[in-house]
Parts: sequence; C-alpha cells; structure tokens
Amino acid sequence: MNEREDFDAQWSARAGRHNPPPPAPRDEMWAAIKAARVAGPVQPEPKTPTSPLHAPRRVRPAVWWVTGIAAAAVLGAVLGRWTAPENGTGPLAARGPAEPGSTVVARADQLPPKELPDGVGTVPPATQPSPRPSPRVGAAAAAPATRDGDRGAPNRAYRVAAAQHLAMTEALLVTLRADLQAGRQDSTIAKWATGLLSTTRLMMDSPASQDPQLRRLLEDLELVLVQIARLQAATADTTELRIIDEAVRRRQVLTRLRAMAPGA
Amino acid sequence: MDDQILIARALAGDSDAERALYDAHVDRIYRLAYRFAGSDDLARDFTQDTFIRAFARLREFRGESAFSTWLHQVGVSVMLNGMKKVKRLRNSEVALEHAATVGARHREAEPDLKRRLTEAIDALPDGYRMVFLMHDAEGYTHVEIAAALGIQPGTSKAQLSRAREKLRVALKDFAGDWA
Repeated sequence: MNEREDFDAQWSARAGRHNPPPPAPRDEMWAAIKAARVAGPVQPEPKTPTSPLHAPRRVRPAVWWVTGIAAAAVLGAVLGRWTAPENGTGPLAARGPAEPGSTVVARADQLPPKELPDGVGTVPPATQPSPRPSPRVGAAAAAPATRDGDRGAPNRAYRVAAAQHLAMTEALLVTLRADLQAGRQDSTIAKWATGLLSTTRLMMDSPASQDPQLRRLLEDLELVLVQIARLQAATADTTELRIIDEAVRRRQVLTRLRAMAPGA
Repeated sequence: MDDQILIARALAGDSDAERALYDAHVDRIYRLAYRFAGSDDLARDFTQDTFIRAFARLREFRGESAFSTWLHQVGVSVMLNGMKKVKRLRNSEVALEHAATVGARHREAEPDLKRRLTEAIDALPDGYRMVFLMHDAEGYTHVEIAAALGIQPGTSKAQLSRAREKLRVALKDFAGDWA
C-alpha cells in the first residue's frame, strides 16, 4: 500500500469520527423556520448551485465599507426625495397628511414670513405664483404627503436601497457571530454598526416603516445595532459580544433578515 | 410516507406534511451543514435557510430527481454562499500552503493532530472541502455529490482526489501518526 492509499484508508476511518455533529435541534430550528416563513417571502437564490470553480473574485472588506456608505447615501437620497415637499422649501408640507377641512392646509407661501421658523429658507411672497404649485392645495389638500403620480418609482428605489441595507446589516451580524466564535472583538465593528444604525433610523422614520413586518425587524435591528455601536475597542473579552449574539438569536434577527425579500 | 405524497399535501397547505418532510431530511442536511461550517450556530442557520428556501420554491420541484437530491442542491448552494459571506467579510481564508508551513514550524510545540486536521480541512477551498466532507465524512456517493453540486461524478472524484492530495501535503509531518 503506497502513501496515498495508506492516507486514504486511514482517513476513511478517522473522517467519520472527526468533529462529529451533535443531534439536530429539530424543534428549535422548525420554530425558527415557521417564524421566518410567517415573516415574509425569501430572497431568491440562484436556481443552480453556485460552483466554487466559477465563484466571483473575492471582495475585499474595504469594498464592503464603501458599499455600505454608498448604500446609506442612496437610501438617504431616496428617503429624502420620497418625503420632501413638492416645492422643496419648508417643512410644512412634510408634516404628513392633513385632515380634510383642516385649517392646517394652508400653503407655505400663504404664511407671512414672520411665522416661518428660523433657517427655513426663502418663501415666495403670496403675490408671486409658485413655480410648481403644491398638489396639496385646494381639492388635493387631503392627499397623502407622497406624490401619487410617481409613487411606483420611489417605492422601487426604496426597495433596492432597503435590500442593500438589510444585506449590509446581515453581513455585520454574521461578522459578529464569526468574531464570537473566533474569540475576538474587532475594533471597527462598532463604527460599522454606527453607520448602519443611522440608516436603520432613517428607514424607521420613513413611510417604509408602514410595513409592519419591516417595522418590527427595524426596531429589533435598532436595539441590536445600538448595543454593537457601544462596544469598546478591540479586546479579547467577548462577553458583550456573547450577550448581543444571544439577543440576535432570541429575536431570530438573522433568520428574519434573510427571509425579508427585497420587494417585501 | 412517500415524499411525493407529502409534497403534494404540503403544496395544498398541509403544515403536518411540511413537518414530515422536514423531519425526514433535516438530520442529513444539518449534519452536512455542521461538518461544513464547523459550528452549531452556522449549521443551524444554514439548515433553516435551506428549508425556508426549499418550501418557498416547492412548486418548482418537478420530481425529475429524488426530493432529497433537490433539497441537497438547495442546501449546498446555501452553505457555499453562506460560507463565502463569512470568509469574504473576515478575510479569514488561510492558504493551505501557509497552514502547512505554520504547522511544520510548530510541529514540536503543537503536536495536536486533531487541531491540525481541523485547520487543514478548513483551509481547503470550499468546493473541495464540500466534496471531501460529503464523501469521506458523511458517506455520500459521487453520484449524490455530483447531483447536489451540479457537476459530473468524474469531477467529484477529481476534486476529492485533489482535496486528499492537499491534506496529505498539509499533514505530511503527521504521516507516522496515522497508523
């Protein structure tokens, strides 16, 4: 028996004993699966298995950072466009839908300048026609703050931005778990979480949070991200990481994140 | 009960049938996920993801292969992609040559074959590692591996051979300990 055959024979005997899996925690996993399926549809996966031989080139961690910042910027822009008033001047039109018949439906350009808060900007005088009359004036006063005419476009743009954000957050939580298993704590993870926390709060304050499933997920993400953002510098003590990971597990955050489709 | 009957009932909304399908296959998926991921946490995640995706796409299952084969295709895809994410983010892949060098240097100080074995297996490229673990650790045939990975059985054999070759190199200073 040559060296190769000897190794193969020895390995066959050892392989089954090496790192033997424990019994599958059937009921726990089934509960998580049910919860995730209730939460929403899953993100599409390629229909054919991804061959590692054709795997894309490895993306350096720095690219993730840049991607994250870009995603946050895109999301901010999308949310800004979505919630901004048509005339793009003051905050009045962005205060949400007015009640029909309410006296609060006056246009910004109908208010005297002294009633405007400081720093709002220039308001055209009432005698000058606004270049783009607000759709919330007159008969349209009771319309919601979003622009009905092009509602589809911001929705689509939002979904893309939301999907990017959820993917980045999932990446962070996976990294956190990997850190925990490796018994280390990365000094950059808190900074990373801080950026994602800002984006999460932007989403929570946007009309996107009207989706109750996404809202609940964002609320849980906010709690987790706050804890990660408060982590101290790199240390070998992983107690805090363990507590955070326990919270992630208890709330099934990762499973719900993965189950939340981009278009949900 | 036959998988086909369970699938038909599951598609009709019978949650008991879904659970029965899950119970019938979860152990093999979890074992493979555990071998591949090396930890209970990731194995749970991968197993859960596999079944979530499989149930979501159950209508796409045409019965052209066994349900177990189709489920393994889904599972292997989830595991490979999941591990890519973990490794990509942490840049934790250690080149096998490096692992071998490190192992050789510390042969005297760290004679722990089990740990070295784990490191050497972890250092295998994911594709080789999957084939290796499926065949040598979990006893899948090359036909089953090929179906799960979407490759030819001959490719599976070749990848297993290369994986073993890399392990032989990485563990050559332990050659005497095998006996």
